[in-house]
Amino acid sequence: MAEIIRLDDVHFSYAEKPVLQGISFSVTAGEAVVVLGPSGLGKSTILRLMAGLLEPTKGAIEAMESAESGVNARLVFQQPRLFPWMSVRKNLYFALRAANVPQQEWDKRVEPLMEQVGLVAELDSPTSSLSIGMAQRVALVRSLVCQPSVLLLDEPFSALDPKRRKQLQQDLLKLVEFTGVSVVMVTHDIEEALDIGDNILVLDGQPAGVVCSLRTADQEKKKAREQIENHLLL
Amino acid sequence: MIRRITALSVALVLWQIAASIADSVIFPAPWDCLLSAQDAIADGTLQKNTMASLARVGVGYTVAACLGVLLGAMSGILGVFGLGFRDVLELLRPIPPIAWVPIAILWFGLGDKSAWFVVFLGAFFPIFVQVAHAFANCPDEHLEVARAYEASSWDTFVWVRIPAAAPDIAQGLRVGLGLAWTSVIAAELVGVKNGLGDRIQQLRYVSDYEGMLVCMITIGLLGWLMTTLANVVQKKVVPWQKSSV
Repeated sequence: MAEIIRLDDVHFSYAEKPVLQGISFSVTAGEAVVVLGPSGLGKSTILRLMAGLLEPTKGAIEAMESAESGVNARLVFQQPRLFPWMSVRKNLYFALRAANVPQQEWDKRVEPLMEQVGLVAELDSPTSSLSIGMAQRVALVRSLVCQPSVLLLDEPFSALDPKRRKQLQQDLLKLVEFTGVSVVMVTHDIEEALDIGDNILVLDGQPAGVVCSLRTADQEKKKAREQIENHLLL
Repeated sequence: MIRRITALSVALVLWQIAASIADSVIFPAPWDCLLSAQDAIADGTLQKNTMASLARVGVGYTVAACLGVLLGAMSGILGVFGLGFRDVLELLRPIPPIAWVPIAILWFGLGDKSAWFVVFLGAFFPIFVQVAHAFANCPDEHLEVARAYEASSWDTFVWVRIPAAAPDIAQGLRVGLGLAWTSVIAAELVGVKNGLGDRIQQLRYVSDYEGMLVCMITIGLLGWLMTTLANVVQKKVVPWQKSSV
């Protein structure tokens, strides 16, 4: 499988304090990588580095330019972060405008994705009329309309109750299948990591590094869970 | 609405009782004021002076709104340079508009220009400060979304910074309008030959206390009307003010 993005010995420090050390992994086309670890270790920082919002202190992040869209990675935040002054449609248009997508393409990209998440009827609604789950679906679509090679998900289900969480996970898997996008998601929830990840990287330590990497396809779920728990307890 | 009507009725009754007890020409009763208002409307003086005051507010406030929004936005965006500019203006801000009246008359002479200047000063500072604060403190969560989507500086300014600042801009314009109205009355007390402020002075010379109160009530009513209208406009223009997901 072709590599989409590669992190090579990435280190990062916040105000001289080391947060991440020696992070190396790559994401291949269509793959779902989950970075799992306790809160506050710097999991979100990995995504911010991959999204270009932060610069590594040492090491490199190499992105293979997507031939089709020219857009490499798009980040979905923990909170939907929709602009409250725009309708749902205009929030999606903002992403397309920023990615320099020709205007005649906008609706062609927006409508099929909104159909996938069952929110076409809400396109012209104000964002204030959406529930948190609906808003997070719109945030997912906002990232996907740019046709990125990698979708970066920063614990996107953490604000939801268990039932809506499961529902949104299903929607995410549906969207991933529909678009073929690769995913890098961070979470502290082992079950979520096992449900979504093809490749799970367990992050631990201070500064944090990858302490274990396992491919869920190769192992039974129960065995994988035990292995993760052992690493996080050490 | 019922609450307001009740409160107003109670205030009028209390005023009437107080005036009856005081039984003095310098404390007119509401009924006498109503008769005086009827006369002022019949001979057109109330409308003429009200329009003169409103016109002065119109000129001074418009200039203050344009410059306040423009300079406030620049000051908010320009970081440390903007902060320096704000520091200088912060020294002038606490000076009440009425303190500028003598200087205004010296600079612009008696007449409309000095009144426009005082109105301008009254409205400019709250607008400037609010707008500068709004642009300097655009929420990181919005800016981070713009950066994550690789939006250009122009797109970020037009689609993120301006709308994010809009509720504070509207608030500044609303507060500025209220202060413009109070400033024009202060300016008219000495600087001009018509307007509600000047009319109060003229009526004082002829001891027409009912007429003075009619002008004061008109000022209060128009101030209330302006604030109410500004609130309605603010809610229409920036309906997202209290909602965010």
